[in-house]
Amino acid sequence: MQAVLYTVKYAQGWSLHISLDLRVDLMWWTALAKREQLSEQIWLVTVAMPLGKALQCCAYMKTFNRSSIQQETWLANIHRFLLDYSHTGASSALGSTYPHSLNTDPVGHLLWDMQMGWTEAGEYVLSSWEEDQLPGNPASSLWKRKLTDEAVYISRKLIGRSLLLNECTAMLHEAGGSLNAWKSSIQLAYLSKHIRLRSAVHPADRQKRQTSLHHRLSARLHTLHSGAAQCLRCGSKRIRYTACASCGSAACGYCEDCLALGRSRECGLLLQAVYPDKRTAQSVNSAWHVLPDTENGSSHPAACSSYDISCTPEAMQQRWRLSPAQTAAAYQALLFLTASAPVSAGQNTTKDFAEQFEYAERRMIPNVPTGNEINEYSTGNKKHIGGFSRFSSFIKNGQNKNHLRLPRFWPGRTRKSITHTNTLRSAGQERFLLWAVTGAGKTEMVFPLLEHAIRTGGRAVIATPRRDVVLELAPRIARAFPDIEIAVLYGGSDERWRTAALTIATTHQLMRFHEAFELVIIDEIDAFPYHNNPMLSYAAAQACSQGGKFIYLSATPSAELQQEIKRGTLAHAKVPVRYHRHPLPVPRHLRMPSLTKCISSKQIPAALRSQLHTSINRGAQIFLFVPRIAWIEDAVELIRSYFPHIYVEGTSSQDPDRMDKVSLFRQQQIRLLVTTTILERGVTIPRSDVYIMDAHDKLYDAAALIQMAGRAGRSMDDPAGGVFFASSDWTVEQKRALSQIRGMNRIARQQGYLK
Amino acid sequence: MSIQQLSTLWEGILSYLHPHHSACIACNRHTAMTGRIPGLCHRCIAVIPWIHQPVCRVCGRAVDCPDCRRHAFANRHFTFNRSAVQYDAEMRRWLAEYKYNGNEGYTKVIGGILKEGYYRMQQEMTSFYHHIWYPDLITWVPASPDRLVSRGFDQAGVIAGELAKAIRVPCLPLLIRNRHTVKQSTQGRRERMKNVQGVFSYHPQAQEWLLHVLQRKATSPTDTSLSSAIGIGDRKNISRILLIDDIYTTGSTINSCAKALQQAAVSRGITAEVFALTWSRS
Repeated sequence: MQAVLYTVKYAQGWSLHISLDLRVDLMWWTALAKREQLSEQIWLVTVAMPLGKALQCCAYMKTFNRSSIQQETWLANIHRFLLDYSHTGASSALGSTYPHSLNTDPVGHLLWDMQMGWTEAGEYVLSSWEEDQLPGNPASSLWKRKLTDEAVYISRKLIGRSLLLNECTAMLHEAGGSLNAWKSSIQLAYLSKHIRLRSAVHPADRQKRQTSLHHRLSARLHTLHSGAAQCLRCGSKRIRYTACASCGSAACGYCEDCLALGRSRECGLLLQAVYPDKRTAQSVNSAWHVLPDTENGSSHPAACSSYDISCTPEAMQQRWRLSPAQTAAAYQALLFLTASAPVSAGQNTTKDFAEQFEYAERRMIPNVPTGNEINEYSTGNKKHIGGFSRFSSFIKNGQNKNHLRLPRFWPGRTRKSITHTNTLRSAGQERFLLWAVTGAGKTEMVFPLLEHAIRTGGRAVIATPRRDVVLELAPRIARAFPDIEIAVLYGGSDERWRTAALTIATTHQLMRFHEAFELVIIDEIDAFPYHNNPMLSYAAAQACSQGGKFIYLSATPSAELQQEIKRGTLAHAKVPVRYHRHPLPVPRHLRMPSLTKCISSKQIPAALRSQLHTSINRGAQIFLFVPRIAWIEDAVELIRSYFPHIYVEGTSSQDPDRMDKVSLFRQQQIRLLVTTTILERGVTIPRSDVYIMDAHDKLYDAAALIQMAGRAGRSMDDPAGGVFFASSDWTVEQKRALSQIRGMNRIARQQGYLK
Repeated sequence: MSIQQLSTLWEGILSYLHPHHSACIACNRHTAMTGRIPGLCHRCIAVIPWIHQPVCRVCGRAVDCPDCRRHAFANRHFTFNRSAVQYDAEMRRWLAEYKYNGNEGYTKVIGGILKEGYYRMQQEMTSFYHHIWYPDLITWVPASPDRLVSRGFDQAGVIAGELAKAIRVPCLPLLIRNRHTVKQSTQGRRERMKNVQGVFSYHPQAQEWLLHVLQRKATSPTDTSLSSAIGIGDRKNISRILLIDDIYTTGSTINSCAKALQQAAVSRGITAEVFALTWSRS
C-alpha cells in the first residue's frame, strides 16, 4: 500500500511522519496546547509513496540531529533520500511490468502555519476523501468522536498482537465490528501511540558508527539502501524483490519464509501493540477526546487476588497429583517464575539478585529463612540438584570469587558466545529448562506454572511443534483449569483471533503475537520445527513480553542447551524418572549385519529373530524403527515372511493412512509396526518393545535414539519394556544415548525416586 | 568447531562445487535442478500432468468434452483453447501457492510450463497450417484493479509477459476489467456465464495497437516467400491474438474476453483470430 509522507516543524526541530489519512494528522497536530511540543508548520512531502520506503525515510531522518536544523537543510535531506530512492528504484524498474509513476516529487507543500492558518493545499486535503477513510467534515465533533471510538476499539483489540493489515481486518470482522474507515482509525491509534505501524519487511537496524559527518551520511544511506532487509514478523532475511502493484514499487520485498501465514511484504502494514505501561501518561492524552487507557481493557478475568502465592510443594503435589520427582522440578520452575528479574540495566550486582532470590524463596516458604531447605527437600544429594538451588548457591558463592565468572546470568551481561545464535531470548527474558525423561509427565508439571502465571494476572502460552499435540493437550488443560478461558490456535483453527488468559498454540501461531505473554512454555524445544530454526526462535522471543519468562520442556535437550547447563548459564531442573517411578529401560545392543544386507539376503539374523519371538510371546506391541522410508516396504515383507501369524504393517510420513495405522497399532490390531522417526515422539503404547534397526545410521543422533527408546515401558503395568539397538557398529551416538539413559537412572536412584 | 558448523561449511563447499544445487520451489528438497522448468526438481517435473494430445479440438481438454458440442458454443468468439497441463490436486496446490499465498517464486515455474504448452500448441498449428504458426500479439485476462492492489501482481499478466519475452512477440494489455466479479472458482456454469457478461472491454488504445501490429506485419519481410509459396498470403490482414490465462474451466471468461477483442478489431475493420492458451484445463 501507499502512504502519505509529511513533516511537522516545531519551535525546535522537525519530525517526519507517515499517514494513512492526512486529515487525521492535520487535526491532531494543529490541536493546540495538548501536544507535547507546539507545532508551527505542517509540510506535505509526497502524497503517495510505497509504505516501506516512507517508513525507511522516517527512520533515516531520525538519525539526524533535528533540534537546530534549518528548513532548507531538512527538506533538502528528505529530497535527497527520495531522489536516491527513486534512482535505485528506477534502475531496478527496467524489467518491471508495472510502470507506475512514483509520485515522489520532493516538493514541500505548506499545509498549515501557526500564524497563517490553513493554506489552500491544506484546505484541499481537509476536504478530500479516499476509500477506507472516514467520510465527513474532520472539524466536526461528531467525526472526531466516531473516529476516537473506532481507534479505541482497534487499539484494544490489538493488545499483545502483531498482525498484518488483512489479519487485523479479519480479526475485527470476526469480532463483529465492521470497520468502514480503518485507515482513519488506525492512523489515530498510531498518533496516540497505542499501536505501532511498521512495514512488514524492513531493513534491519544496525549500529551507528561515529565518524565524520560525511562518512556518517554515506554510511546511513548505505545502511538504508543495501542493508539486509528482514521480515519483522518472522525475522527471516530471505526476502524476494518483485514488482508490486499495490505500492507501485518496482522492487518491493516480500518474505519467503512465512508465506504460509499470509504474505508479509515491504509495503504491507504490520500493526503491533505498544505496551501500555511503557508509554508516558502524557502522550495518551489526545486533543479532542482522551482515548481511554487500554490498561483497563487488558485485565484478565481469570486474575484473582485470592490466589495463594505461597504454595508449598506438598500442596502442589496434592493438588496436581504429581510424583515426587515431578513436584521437585515443578517447584524449582515455580521458584524461577516467582523470582523477579533484575532490571535489564545490566548493572545489577549479583548481590542484588541473590537478595531478590532469597526474598522470592521466603515468599514461597514463609518459615524457611534460606534456600537450604529446598536442597534437602528436592534431593538428598547436592551434586545432582538441578536448577535453582544450585543456581542460587552458585551466585552466593560467586560473590567472593573472580569477578569474571559472575556476570553471565542475565542477558544484559551475557558474554558473546555461540549460544547467542541458538537461543530464544531477547533483553529481559529469562529461560528455564525442564529436562524431563520421556514419559515423565511433562504436561502435568506445567499445570502449577500455568496456574501461577495466570493467577498473578499474566497471560501464558504453551507452544508445541505439532498440531495433533495441540489438539490432544487442549482438553486436558481445559479439564485442569475449568474456570480459565483457553484459546486453541493452530492453522485453520476457529479461534484464531481469540484472546484468552491461556493459549495453546502451534509454534507458528506465535508470530501473530507481540509482547503478549508473561510465560511462554515451549514443548519439545529440540524437536523439528525449533531445532536450528531462527524463525521460530524470533517468533517466540517476540511473543514473550519484556521481563517475561520462557520455560523449555525437553527430554533430549540439544548440545547447545546442554553446554549452557554445564556452563551454568541456563537455569534448569531435571526429572530423572518416569511418573510410575520405574527406571528407564536401558537399551541392549544386538550385533547384526546392516538392514540392507538382511533385505538383500532375505534373512533375519538369529539373534534378532529370537528376540522378536520373545517380544511377541510376551504379548508386546513392537516398534521397529528403520532409518529410511524406502526400506519400510522391504522390511515389512521380510518380517511377514518370518512371522506370518502376526499383523505387520509399515508407515511413514508419506503414508496417507498413517493415522489409521497408528490407531490400529494403539488398539493392538497391528502387532508390529515398521516406521521411521516420525513416531519417535508423542505415541504412547501401553505394552511395547522397541527395536531400532541400523542404530548406527548417521541419521540417528543420541536425541533420536533416546526418543525412540522412550516409546518402551511407559505404562505402569509394563514398566520394563525392551529396547534394542540392532546395528553392526557401536557408534558414539549410541554410546551417548545409553550413557544419558543410564545417567538419568542413576540420578533417580540416588535421589530415591525409584520404587 | 561443532558438527553444525562443519556441516554448514561442507554445504558451502558443495554449493561452490555444485552451483546448480538449490531448493525446489514445489517440494523444498535441496537437489540438482534439471533446467527444463526453472526452479523445479526432476521429481516435481515428473508429476506434471501434461496434456500431450488434446482430445477436444476446441477447448484442449485431454478427455472428451460434452461442453464444446453444445450448440451455443458454436458461436464462440475464440478459435480454440489449448492448455499446458491438467488441473489436478498438485497443480491446484501450485496455483494456489502462487496466486493466493503470493509465492512469486512460482512465476518461473508456471511461466515455464506455459511456455512448453505454447511450443506444443505451435507444433500442432504448424503441422495443421503447413507453415510456421505464431501469434502477432499476446494479451491476457486481466485481474480487477482491487484484486491487483490486494494481490500485488496480475498472475496472467506476469506469465503472459514471460512467454512474450521468450518468443519475442509483443505483449500488450488489450483488455480491461470493468467490474470486480465474484471469484469464478466459487460459481457453477450458469452463474459463471452470467458473472462475466460485460465484464471485459477493450483498452481505449487497443484498436491502435492492433492496427500498428498489423501494419508492421504487412511490411515485415519475414516468411513472405514461404507463405506466398503455400498460398496463404491473405492471412496478412488477419491479426492473430494469443489470449493467456491461468485456468480454463467452462470457457466463459475466455469467451467474454475474446468477444471484447473481436469488438475492438471489428470496429477498425480488422479480422482477428483469437487463440487461447491457458496454463491448465480443469
